[in-house]
Amino acid sequence: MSLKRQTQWWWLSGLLLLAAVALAAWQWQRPIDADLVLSCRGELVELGPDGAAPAQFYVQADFLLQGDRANLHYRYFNHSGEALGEIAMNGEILSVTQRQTVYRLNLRQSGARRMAAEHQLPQHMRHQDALGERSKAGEGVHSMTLELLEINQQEDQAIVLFLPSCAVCGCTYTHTG
Amino acid sequence: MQWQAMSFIRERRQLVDLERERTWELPRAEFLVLTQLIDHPNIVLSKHRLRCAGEVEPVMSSSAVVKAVFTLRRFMGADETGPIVTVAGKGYVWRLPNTQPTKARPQRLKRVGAALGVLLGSGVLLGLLLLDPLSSSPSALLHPSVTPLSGGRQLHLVQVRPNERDTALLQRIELAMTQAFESCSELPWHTVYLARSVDGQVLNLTLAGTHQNLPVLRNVKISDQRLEPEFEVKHWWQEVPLCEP
Repeated sequence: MSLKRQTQWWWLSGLLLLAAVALAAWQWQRPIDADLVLSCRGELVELGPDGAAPAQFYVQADFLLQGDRANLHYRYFNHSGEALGEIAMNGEILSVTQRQTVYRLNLRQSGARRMAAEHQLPQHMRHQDALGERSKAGEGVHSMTLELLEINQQEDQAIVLFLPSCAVCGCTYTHTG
Repeated sequence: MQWQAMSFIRERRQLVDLERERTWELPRAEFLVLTQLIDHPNIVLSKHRLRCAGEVEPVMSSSAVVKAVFTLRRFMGADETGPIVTVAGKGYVWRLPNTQPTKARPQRLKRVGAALGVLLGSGVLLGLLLLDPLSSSPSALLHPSVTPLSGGRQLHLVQVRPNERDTALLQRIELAMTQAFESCSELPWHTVYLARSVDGQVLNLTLAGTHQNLPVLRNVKISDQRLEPEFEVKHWWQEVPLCEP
């Protein structure tokens, strides 16, 4: 390889390195600008101690991801549609992948309300509430990752994986515009 | 003098390609340039020195030297990889593979290696930044299978993020659900996603399909708080009839 060609290699390497560094700096500085509203409805079936005699509840979970902020709202209902309680969380979006399919959130519970004291609460609500309480006692936040596994743009539907719980939900989505 | 498949017969001013059996009667400029280079192996000769051909004043033009190098290389069937090596800004050097200085090559290799290393590193960095491959690929988290149902129907069963702990349980649930779905007169679902929670005590089912030409989704989360959850389908199928959208 001649000196001229070596010099060309050096120039090419240098330019590529410069481009990579510039892109990294741009990525680092790039503000998080999410724009997603997810609405998920779930049936909660709780099997009894013998594995049978299930109790049934419903949960409506709404996720608003806008800019670098995240707001979550869970509402719980019993089998006859009566509201049992709600839990609200808010926090920040730590990162979003370029394809806007993975969102990493830091959340803190901002409110929990029980609406029907005489009714049994769903396990999901008790679990979410306990998670919020534990977070308050600790660092005050807990993390959650939302990953859009499959997106049906025609129907505005997405299959979403929630981590670390490893829950899966089919949700409708929209953009706040 | 011989090197590789070439022979230079100085007294006859001939360059012979032994492989292709060709002989070239060297013109004056080519002969002078070649003899000077061969007589000074591994020494860089400037274009001016080649023009002088041992005389005080130049005996040929600069372009004649360039042309001579070009035609010599062409006859030898080699460009920069042949024995006549261009040294940018300095001139030409006669360098045969077995006569190359021992230090020059490793240094050059080091430089080339470093350049290639920087190039490769930059390329990888750019790839990481542009393609974002560190985020998990959704398809890697999904383990799909297709189950045929009676009447030519098909059901796609997709296990999400299954691990070894869940495999047998999820397969048992899939089988039981498939048998239960057979009893449905109409099945609105084309795909069922199954995921077991990280604590193992919640089975997440997401059913996707169409009903009356409209897309339908149904999410069912079954909790079994026993030490060894089984999520037995027979215990909840009647309460949660999944034949309906």
